[in-house]
Amino acid sequence: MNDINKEFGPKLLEKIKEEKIAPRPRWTFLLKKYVVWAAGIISLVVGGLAVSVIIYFVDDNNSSIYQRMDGSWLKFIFLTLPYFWLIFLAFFIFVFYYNLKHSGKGYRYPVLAMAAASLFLSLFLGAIFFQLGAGRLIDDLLGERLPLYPQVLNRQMVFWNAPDEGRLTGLVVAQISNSEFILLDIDRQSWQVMTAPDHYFLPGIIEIGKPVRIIGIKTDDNVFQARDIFPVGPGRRFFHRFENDSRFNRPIDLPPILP
Amino acid sequence: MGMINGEKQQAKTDEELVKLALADRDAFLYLVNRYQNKLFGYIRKITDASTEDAEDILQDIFLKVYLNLNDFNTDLKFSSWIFRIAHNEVISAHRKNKSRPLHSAAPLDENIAESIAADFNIIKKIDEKLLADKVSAALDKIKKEYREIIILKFIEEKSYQEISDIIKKPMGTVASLMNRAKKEFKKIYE
Repeated sequence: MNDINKEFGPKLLEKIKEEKIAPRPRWTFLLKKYVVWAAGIISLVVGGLAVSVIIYFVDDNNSSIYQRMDGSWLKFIFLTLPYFWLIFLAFFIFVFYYNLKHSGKGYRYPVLAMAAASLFLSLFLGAIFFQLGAGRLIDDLLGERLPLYPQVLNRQMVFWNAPDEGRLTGLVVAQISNSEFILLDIDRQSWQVMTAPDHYFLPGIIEIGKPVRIIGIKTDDNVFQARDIFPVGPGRRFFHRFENDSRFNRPIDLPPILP
Repeated sequence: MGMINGEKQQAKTDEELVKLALADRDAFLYLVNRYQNKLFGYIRKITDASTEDAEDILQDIFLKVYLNLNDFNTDLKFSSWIFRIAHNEVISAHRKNKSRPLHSAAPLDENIAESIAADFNIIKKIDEKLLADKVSAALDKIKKEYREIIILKFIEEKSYQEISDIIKKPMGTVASLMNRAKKEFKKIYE
């Protein structure tokens, strides 16, 4: 009893005629396919850009800095990972994978292979973008303009803004002597930073208008004794927001140094 | 009316008939005639739909096929494409009637029962009719996705590649589904 009523076909055709049903135009299907592909390619490019920013962050967060710090390596990694960018990347890898799976014959490939291909392509493209300087450019642009940049996009800045734990980051706004300078931290608080006279820093690191990261000891309110000073990578353009600050290049407002 | 010579069309491939149907609505009837019994049998075997309900599902399938004719391309066999639409429509009809359990209502052909028994290494030194009943009963009890894959393989005689294209899953997944289907079938059968 698997054969259907002989009238089925003619009735169906009648219904098609009566209801004026017509095949959807070919262009609607082509448009849908192109949209899926375009969304996939855009996701791949955006994912690649996220990877280039992550490499920029990780490349800067190197072991030579960690070695000069006290505390555990795991804590250092945990506190300085670019979580926003990792979540951003995961989202766009998923979007790319989803589009790949729903394009043409995407279903023919195993999920793991497709997910691995999505990840690999994003990493590969991200490495190229990083080499072209995209990671730094994106971070510079966002750092300069985006509200809540340190809190959301660059947790490394929050990590370095902990004078009580021996870390300080900010913009050098005035130099008092070869061993003293004034720094504005990310909350725009001014600090008098002292360096040991016999301590050697890379030339050009302490310059007015340049941001720095410092490892040392807070010796008093708004006074910091520097042990190591490093340039700032990710987040360096955040400090461009301070260029109009009245304290810029004006060492005369210094608080007195207590004995 | 634009109806084309019937005998001449019998010799045409599915792909040629699709082109004809796009140019002449009446020619769609040849595709309907070619697939209506296959799809009707498929619906009856994987659902518990009554004859009327199965006809409604079949009508929805052909309307969808007609609406989407321009989406068909020869990268895929037409039979895989139309079975894919049928597979999706059956799932959608099942969702609309969630309360209804899915059980095969259509009896199994004795030759097909033998073919399943042989492939599943089931001892079949019993009466053919009894074997067909036992195989049908076992098919009724296994999971819907396993039953569908067995029906596509043994009744519709689809290759793994075609099944992969119909249910939109990788070939490896189809093979492992088939293995699990065999194990569950044997467990229930024995």
